[in-house]
Amino acid sequence: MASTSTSTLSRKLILKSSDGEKFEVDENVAMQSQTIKHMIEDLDDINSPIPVSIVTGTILSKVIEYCKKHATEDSDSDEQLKQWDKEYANNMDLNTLYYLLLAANYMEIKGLLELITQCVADMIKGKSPEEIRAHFNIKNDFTPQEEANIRNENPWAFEN
Amino acid sequence: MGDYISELPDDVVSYILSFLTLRDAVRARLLSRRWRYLPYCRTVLRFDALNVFGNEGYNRVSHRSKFVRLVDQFLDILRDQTLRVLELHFGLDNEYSSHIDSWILRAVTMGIKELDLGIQNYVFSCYLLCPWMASSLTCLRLSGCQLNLSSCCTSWISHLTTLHMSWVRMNHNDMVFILSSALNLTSLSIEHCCYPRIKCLKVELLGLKKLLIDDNSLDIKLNCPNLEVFECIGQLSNLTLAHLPFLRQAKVFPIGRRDGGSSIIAELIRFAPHLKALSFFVRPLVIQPLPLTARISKSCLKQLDLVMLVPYGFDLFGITYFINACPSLEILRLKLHPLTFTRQSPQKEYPDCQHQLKEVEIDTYSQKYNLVELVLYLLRNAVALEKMVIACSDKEKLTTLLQNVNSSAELIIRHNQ
Repeated sequence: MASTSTSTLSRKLILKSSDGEKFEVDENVAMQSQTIKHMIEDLDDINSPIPVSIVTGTILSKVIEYCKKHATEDSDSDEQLKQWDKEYANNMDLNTLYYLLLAANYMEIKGLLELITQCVADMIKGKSPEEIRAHFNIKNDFTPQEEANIRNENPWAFEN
Repeated sequence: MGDYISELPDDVVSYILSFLTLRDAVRARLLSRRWRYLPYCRTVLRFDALNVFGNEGYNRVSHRSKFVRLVDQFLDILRDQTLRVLELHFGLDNEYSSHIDSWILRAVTMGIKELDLGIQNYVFSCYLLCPWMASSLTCLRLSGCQLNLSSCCTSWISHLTTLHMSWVRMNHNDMVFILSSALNLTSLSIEHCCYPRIKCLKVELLGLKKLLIDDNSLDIKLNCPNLEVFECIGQLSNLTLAHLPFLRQAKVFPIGRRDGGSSIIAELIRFAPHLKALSFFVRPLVIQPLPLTARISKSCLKQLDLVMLVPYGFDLFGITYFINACPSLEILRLKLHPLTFTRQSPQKEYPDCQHQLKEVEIDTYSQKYNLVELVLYLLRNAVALEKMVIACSDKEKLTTLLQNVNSSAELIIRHNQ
């Protein structure tokens, strides 16, 4: 398809969340998602809404907020962008982080996936297994014997 | 609240694990059954104090046996997987060399591509890599180890594309053997290896693109027609070059030379017509002679970095000879180190000259030179200047001195400790 760069930039797309909410975004914002990029290539009618099936409107708006920030490269330096990322991630509760992680994985947005993954990894870092379970509400389904076996397999990791 | 994290797909949780240190990743196996059997998607293994012991990790003797056990166990966990990179950096004693040998052998069977060893005094024997299956290794980095090349075959060396050696003490024969066998290298780095008695380094590698040498009193002979980046940080006693049509970036510190290195610079300019960025260490002596600057003027140099040892009171204005001799220059970076003896600068005339400099960066530790004078000259004469960054010890004073200068360039003055 032959199109000039200006018209590509100004093109709008409509994204539709799983709960039917619609978002109009610039094409270069939406194209940060590899999944959407591939969908557009197969799309006949650019004006029809693109379904983002597993992502709710609340989460999609957060994803778009990230993509918008990272689509405009001109104004911010790398450091400012990093700071923005940090604040963006810090403002999310665990529930939102979880759905954002799923969304970033599904929509294939590399930067967002890395950001949220790093954020979750930071929550695990340096904590004892008991603390991690409490934080993420993970149920311990081991028998005491199994647990002892794991500790014996890798004693160095559990020494303090 | 449900168990969020355990409902994530396997690949996402494995991805989270890959962001953790080895210690935390193994500890996570204790969370639940789900976590225990998650695949480790680690193709890069870094074993060093921080990664293994967390923040409390030190290179203490008591940690050595723990470290060794850990690497043993971790390689056990990963035994059926493929591994791309193995890095080992730890203060291990020679008594553990059989362990280290076995780790390298295992990594080789796991299809390793990059090996990075930083273990003092460990004797790395090349028979570990040859002759059977080591052909997948393309990148080898050694620091502080010794290299045992006896009964070594050349096949594994010829597969290497990257070879970095730092503090790997070698004799002349070993060096010649390596340089004549590693025929597919694109990146070579030799730092503090030419000891005790290597005087001459002859590098004739057709595919080499990047060469870094940091050793003193070397006579270097280069015949690398595809070289793009050349850095020679140690004292250089002589440099013999052949045609370098692709060289675009060079750094030389010819400190020990009587002529201050001007003939070496002239050589570089002559054999590397497309040199874009040149960084070199200048002694005050070199600044004046014009035959050199006449040579430079034929070049298409776009970036010039000068590291200078400057006596207090030295006339920095001599630098303008360089600038004016480079018609294509866009970026200038000055790093000024003070020398303690003083000299009065003579009276001089200000040459009027317009140049195309776009960016100037000056890093100095003292204001006892005529820095302001040079800065003013540049601001007035560089018509294309977009940005000037100065790091100096007295920010306020310089800011006051420069506040009335009429220039469209962005001026940034930083404080330098």
